[in-house]
Amino acid sequence: MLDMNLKLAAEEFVRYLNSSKEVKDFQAAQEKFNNDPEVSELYQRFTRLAQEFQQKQATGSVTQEEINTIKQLQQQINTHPVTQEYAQKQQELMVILQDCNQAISEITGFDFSATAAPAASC
Amino acid sequence: MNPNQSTMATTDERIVEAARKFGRTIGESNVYKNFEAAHQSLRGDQEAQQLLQQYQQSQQQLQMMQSWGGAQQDDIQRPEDMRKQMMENKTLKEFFEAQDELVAQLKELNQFMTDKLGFDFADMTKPAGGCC
Repeated sequence: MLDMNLKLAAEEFVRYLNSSKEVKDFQAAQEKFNNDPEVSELYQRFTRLAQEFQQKQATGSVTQEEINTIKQLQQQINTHPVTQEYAQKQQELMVILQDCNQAISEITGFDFSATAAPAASC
Repeated sequence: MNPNQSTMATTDERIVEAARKFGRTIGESNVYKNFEAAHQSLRGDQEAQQLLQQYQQSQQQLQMMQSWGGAQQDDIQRPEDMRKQMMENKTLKEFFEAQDELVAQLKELNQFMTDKLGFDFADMTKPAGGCC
């Protein structure tokens, strides 16, 4: 069970983070990215093709045309203004989060994020 | 820009101070103090340190043998035997237990923050290629 003092300190830290411009901008860009119909459609097509691609790779029946299509789709997603904005806001958020992690880790003497990250993400 | 250059000046000092306060609270918690005490005991116990070193060596050797495809039953068994020996050592047993408790508490804390932020703080800032 979570230590009450730790929980309160985490809550206060999160409150400051959530009130920052970087977090607000990131959350807005994330919502836009998740709900943009054009990006969603591109992403669905990409996922479907990637699955087919994997199956065909196993049998060695992938054509150059299919490789090109999947690359084009990936590029369309990556260069879409909504994706670009999301990536940009994520980068800006990362800067303040890294600074915060550094501030925590300097005090505790170990890397907070490396220790606290979920195991599944390794 | 120098990649080692601190970006601290651009981040709102109030947020960084809240992070420091959070770090200090972790440092004052019982779970952290228990870990520090167990770590201190390990530093002062040569036998325990030797056992830990031998275990790490047996693991490295197993990994090396496995990467060459030549691991024998003995190579697989040795780290397991060493692990059992380590867990019979009071200092090491207490150290691992304290470490597990601290890590579990920090992971839970990060999950708590993730639920409130809508993104995973630790996952986004952990060192590249770093694994727990």
